[in-house]
Amino acid sequence: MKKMKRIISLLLVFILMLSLVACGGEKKDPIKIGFEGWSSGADAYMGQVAIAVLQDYIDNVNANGGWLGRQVELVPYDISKDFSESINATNRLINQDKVTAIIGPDGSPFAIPLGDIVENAQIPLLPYGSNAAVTLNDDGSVKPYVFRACPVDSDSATVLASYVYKEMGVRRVATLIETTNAYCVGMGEAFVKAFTSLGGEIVATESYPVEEIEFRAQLTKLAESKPEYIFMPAAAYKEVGNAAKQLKELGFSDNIKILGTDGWYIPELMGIAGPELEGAHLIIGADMSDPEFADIITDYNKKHGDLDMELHIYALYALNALQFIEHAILEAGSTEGPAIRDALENIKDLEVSTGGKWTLDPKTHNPKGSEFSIVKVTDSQFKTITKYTD
Amino acid sequence: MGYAKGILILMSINIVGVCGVIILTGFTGLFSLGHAGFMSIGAYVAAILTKYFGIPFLLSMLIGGLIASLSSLIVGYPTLRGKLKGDYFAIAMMGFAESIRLLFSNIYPYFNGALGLSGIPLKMNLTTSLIICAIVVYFTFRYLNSQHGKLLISIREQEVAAELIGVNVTKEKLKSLLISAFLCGISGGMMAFYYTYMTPNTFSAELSNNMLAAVVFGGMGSISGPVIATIILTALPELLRAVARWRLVIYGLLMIIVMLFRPEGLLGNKEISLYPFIKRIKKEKKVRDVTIKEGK
Repeated sequence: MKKMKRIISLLLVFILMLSLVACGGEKKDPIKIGFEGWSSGADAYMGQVAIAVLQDYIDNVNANGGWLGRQVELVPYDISKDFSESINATNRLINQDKVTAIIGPDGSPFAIPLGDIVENAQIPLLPYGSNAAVTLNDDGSVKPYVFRACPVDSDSATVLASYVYKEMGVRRVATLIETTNAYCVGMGEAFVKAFTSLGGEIVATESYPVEEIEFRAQLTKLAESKPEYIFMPAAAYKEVGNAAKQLKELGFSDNIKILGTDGWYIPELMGIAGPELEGAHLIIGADMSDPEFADIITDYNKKHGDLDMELHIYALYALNALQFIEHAILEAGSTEGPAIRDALENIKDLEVSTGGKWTLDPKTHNPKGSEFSIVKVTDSQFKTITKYTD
Repeated sequence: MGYAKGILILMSINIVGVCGVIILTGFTGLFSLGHAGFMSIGAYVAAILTKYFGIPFLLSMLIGGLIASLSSLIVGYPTLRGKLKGDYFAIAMMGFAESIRLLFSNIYPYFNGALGLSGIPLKMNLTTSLIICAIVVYFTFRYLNSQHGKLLISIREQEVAAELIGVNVTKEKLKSLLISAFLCGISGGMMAFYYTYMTPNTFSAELSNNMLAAVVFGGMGSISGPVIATIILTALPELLRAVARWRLVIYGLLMIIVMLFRPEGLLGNKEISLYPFIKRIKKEKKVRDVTIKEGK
């Protein structure tokens, strides 16, 4: 009993000390930018890489004198545990840390409930990687303090549909969709709508539960209706890896290829099922192997090679958000929420880290001007074949 | 809404749900891995009634709880009559919760399927949630200390003996499941009006596990134990924010340490109550009064 008490009290002391370390070192009045992301657990690569990239950018800003003559500080919080975390983290960022703006979270279900909170606090929130309901209310009105720092996910599915119909001459597509994930369902709906309105045919539809590893039954059924492509907008790349392997095993992979979205544009996938995915097409917001990213990737690898995580597109979307905020703060000349909000709404032709010049639409708070890249898997690598806008 | 306020609201939402699990798992001894399913039903029913039909949120939460309670009959009646218990019952409940999740993911009118229900009015403030929480804890306490509670404990301790002395085991178990599902439904409704957005995945197996963990962590056979455990488990991830990426590791580690040193949970089957303190203060006062009198 005594021993336990001692251990627990030691642990408590340890935790308290750590929190003191975190609170200490208060510089005079820096501009604080909050960040919410998954930085522990299975999806830790999402948040940790983003934090590294954002911190680098901010270090660079600080070395050059900061914004408005003030230093900039990143306050990153982890929201991996469950849905309640993004609300808690946002409340904490606003009330305890008094941040100027918040970047993230990167999942729509985490970002959607935050609209009211940031509106009351008048703190701009810039989520990245999320669906239409993030910036829009049910009635279509825009949430005044939420701005998207990435393309609306369903846009890419629409563009992909028109690419495969017009450029590749595909007429028969089957879909394989996880029905419990908002991202997958949203992508599927957008693709089907765009593809059928162009005149294409969805020949078969199958679904699977999250974290499925066995796809043989669905693939066999889909293959019976002889599609040219299977559209699989999975959010988890392992599912695509397994499906591709099993498609090859069943002997369909010569006639049927896979179509996908940026949800599984993760370099690790090529290690799992590179050869099996040969010939698969997907659409992404930006291609990381494009020479324009060479600098930022080498830079990242040099500084954060020890993280053992590759730089991914979502981290760059987070960086886009930071660039939006930087532009808005400098433009507004102030760190007041309403002023930054107005400046964000008026962003025009801002050059962002993912390439292209972005303009924010004041009616939807979505960026316009983002380009999409069509990627083909060749020799176990993601290779961009063209840039395409509808 | 303040940071501390938000955490307090979350605590009271969790406590309401955990009270449901206390009745079923802590006192009746039926392990369940599916209480998130009842929360899901309560949350969706309450949210839909208020959002589309304009029913006041307290009433729709009540209806949500009742429907969750009724739905527990679907799985409860056949399993409990068949004397399913232990792991088997737990897994039947898990299956129920999973099927609810998949069902809601595929219903589009009103439920909006996997895309999730958004635009639920924000109704849960600190006062409302604390009052609901207090009522539920008081109810749980009174119920479990009544004749009903004694019957449940007898079933937990020795089911055959309980049956021999004339306890209608199936009926009592079913009653405990109904109440348990009702409370979880209410908790789900509170969650809906606090989050203002939910998808069927909000009510994942993890949520059931967390509630079960709070009951085991706090002590089976105690009410105050799991309530305290819920408070700790809700606050802990927030307190650990300072350690960033190691947060969830330390969270898990602390739970392991407590379970190693106190396998019966924080309080075992005891209760923390203010009564002994009050008694002692009264006694001291009496003694003081006496000494003062004698001194005179």
